[in-house]
Amino acid sequence: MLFPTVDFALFFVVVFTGHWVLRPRPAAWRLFILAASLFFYGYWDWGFVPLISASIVGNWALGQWARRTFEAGEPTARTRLVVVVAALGNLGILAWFKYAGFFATSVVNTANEMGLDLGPPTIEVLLPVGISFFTFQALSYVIDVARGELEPVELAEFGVFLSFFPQLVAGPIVRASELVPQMRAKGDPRHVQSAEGFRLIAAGLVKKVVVANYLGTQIVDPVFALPDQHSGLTVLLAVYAYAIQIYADFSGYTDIAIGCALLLGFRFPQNFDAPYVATSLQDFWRRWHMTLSRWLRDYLYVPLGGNRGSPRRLERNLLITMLLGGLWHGAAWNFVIWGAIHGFGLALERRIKVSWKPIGLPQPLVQVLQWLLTFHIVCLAWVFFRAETFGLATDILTRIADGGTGADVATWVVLATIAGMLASQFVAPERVAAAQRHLSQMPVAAQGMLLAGVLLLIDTFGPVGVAPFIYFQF
Amino acid sequence: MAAPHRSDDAGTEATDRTMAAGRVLQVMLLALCLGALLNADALLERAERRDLDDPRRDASVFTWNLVADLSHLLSLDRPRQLLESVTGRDDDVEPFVLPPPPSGSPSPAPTTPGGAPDPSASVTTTTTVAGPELRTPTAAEPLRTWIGGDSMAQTMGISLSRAMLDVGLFETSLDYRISTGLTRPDYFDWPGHLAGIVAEQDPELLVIIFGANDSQGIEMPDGRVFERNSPDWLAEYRRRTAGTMDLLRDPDGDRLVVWVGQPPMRDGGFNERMAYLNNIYAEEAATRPWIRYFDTWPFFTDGAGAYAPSLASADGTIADMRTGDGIHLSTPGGDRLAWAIIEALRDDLDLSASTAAAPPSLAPPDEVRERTAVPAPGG
Repeated sequence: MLFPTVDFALFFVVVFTGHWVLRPRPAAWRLFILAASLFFYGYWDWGFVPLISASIVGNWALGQWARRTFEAGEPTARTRLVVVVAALGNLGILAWFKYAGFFATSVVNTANEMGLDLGPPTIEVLLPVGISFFTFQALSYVIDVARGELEPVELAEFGVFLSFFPQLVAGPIVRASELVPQMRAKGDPRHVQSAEGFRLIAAGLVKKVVVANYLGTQIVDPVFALPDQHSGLTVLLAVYAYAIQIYADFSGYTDIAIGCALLLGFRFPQNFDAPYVATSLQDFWRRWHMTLSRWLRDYLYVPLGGNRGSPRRLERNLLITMLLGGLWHGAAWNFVIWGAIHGFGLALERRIKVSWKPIGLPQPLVQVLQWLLTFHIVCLAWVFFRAETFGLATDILTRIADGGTGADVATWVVLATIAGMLASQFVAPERVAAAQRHLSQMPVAAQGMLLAGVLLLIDTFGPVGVAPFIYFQF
Repeated sequence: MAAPHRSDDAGTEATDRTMAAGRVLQVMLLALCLGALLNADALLERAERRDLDDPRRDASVFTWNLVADLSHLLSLDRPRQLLESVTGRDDDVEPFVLPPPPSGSPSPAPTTPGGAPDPSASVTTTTTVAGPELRTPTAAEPLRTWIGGDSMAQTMGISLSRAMLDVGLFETSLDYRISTGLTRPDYFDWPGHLAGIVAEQDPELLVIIFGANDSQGIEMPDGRVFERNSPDWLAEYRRRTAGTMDLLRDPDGDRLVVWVGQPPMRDGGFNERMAYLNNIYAEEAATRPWIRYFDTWPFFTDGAGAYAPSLASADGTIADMRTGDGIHLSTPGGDRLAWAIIEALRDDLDLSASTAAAPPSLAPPDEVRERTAVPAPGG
């Protein structure tokens, strides 16, 4: 079920009501939310409900098993075995769905190059929506239990944790230690953080339905499809537009997810923090897809050695983490290159910071230059992320470099949208807080009318039909 | 708790006044009901655009009709009208009416007494009818080419535009509309749109693909609804196909239209429905010298003539031809189709000014053989 639809609006009203009615009765509440979440998921394809159900039961059992291997309250060698089984099982299933087709084709092509005459593989694997997100969430639960950082939870609790519909298909990637205590608290129906919830839902809808779709159809899709038919300046603007589009699309989804959860009395971890104000790549990764960055840090980077060891080892860890972060998005060289740009960039940034000596430039100018450099490295990486092939990515960069002539599809509205969205990242948090406080003090009727006005604007300026969120494919 | 921050999803609730869940529900219901009334006409239009075979369509149209009536009664449709008027989004266009067949138009294709195509009929794909006289394109004066259609035209069109750019003798424009076709002019009026294209752009070559969204009921202006693949439906779809082909004819005979058939589909039922449409396209094209029907089937089937998710190219490289939905083409699939179309164009076009040829990794292998006929299902 997509968020920006009438179907979801009706679904949410029903779930919201049932949720607050049943909240004082934990057992009934858990079953209700679990059923609602599976319905939400099955609305895409009922065939995938058994998969997530199996993930719930399997990972819950692994958590129980991990806990039973403890001796004197401490993990043992057998606990590590459970973690290995969990990692192989979860990542194996994820790899099957994400990489099996690519792998089979690659194997057949390699075999044919060696003289074997194999026919095309008949394997066709459909990627279940959200599998990358809920697999990482499930794995974090088993590892946290195995590390002794979390007590195993009941099956129904775990089911709600893994399938909770607001964050099920595209995050934020929530940890059990964050969500389970909130589930166990009964929630206070007298004090719902409604103003923040409504603000986030409204902002998310505008970002996704209006901004992301507009930039996608007006400039990004046509230019990335046929860069050679457009002028160099238009291609450059299309790259900026994609940076805004993917931010609006993904953070828009996150805003709606966090807003819906707030209305249900849950607070999810922050997932975006104005990423395009970053003045270094390290800063960018503290602001972009923060829950994935956190996951990769805690379950991959730190176990690899993290910041410990020699600078060279640290750089290796950074590169491996970013390359695997790229591959998490899919089996394509483009994602590997995207991860490599960030990995090498982060490593280089650390080296420069260590040996940097001020050259006397005014600090504000240094900040602006750092911001410009960071934004353009991020945009360079986005070119590889978005382009269908490596060749097209290089075509785009060549086109920008040679400044060729061609069609211009960038209108003033496109330019204003890009500039406006970039400027919005620099809005002082106090202003947002003040607007939200003002909303919270309005009477019920005024809040309802204001939100209806937002729905009017979104439906008028949005496209007919809603394109899937970009991150659903991951 | 997260510190307040900018416009993203950081927590900023510290000083907000909270609200009881019951009052939150009131806000939501008010916002949704008022939002529905403010957008009622658009929501009704969306309900009407649902597939006529969709079991939820009637209930949806009925509901949104009531909401729209109430919206008009309360004048709550005015704000949206005003917004659309101010931003120029209110350009309602009268539906285009297909012209009657010109005198001396091609005779109707073979049908059964009920009007359905004769299952025993099949269309020979290799037409011998003389085509239009197209000039020889050069790099300085490339052929004005328009590529378009439904969502199948997206990948095909992008690949064909790239391939034509490599050839260097075409000046292309791409115009695809998702979820459109010939059965639902209320959703998107292709004949009217194409009439505008030929009048304004005067393309010398059109490459067009329809059908993937067309296998649904047809509602006639007088309210009659023809069930999918019924004799009336097939006759009406044939009339629309023929009318669209006729309006693309250039009076001076210097325009060629490549009408691309639908490839085989993974789902058996859908595949059969596409076969009905392909048969109609091929039959109607066969009697119109300015139309070339391009049969995609052989390029996307395996050795047994069945749907194939991945296939080998001319140099043996195997690639996925289709996307996960079993309907649309992948990028390699689009490239394969694009180069096959360019190859077929050589029958009508002198492309000798270019030495560009299909890269072996993208082109279909030589052993792909055109079908001699496009049979109707059961034929």
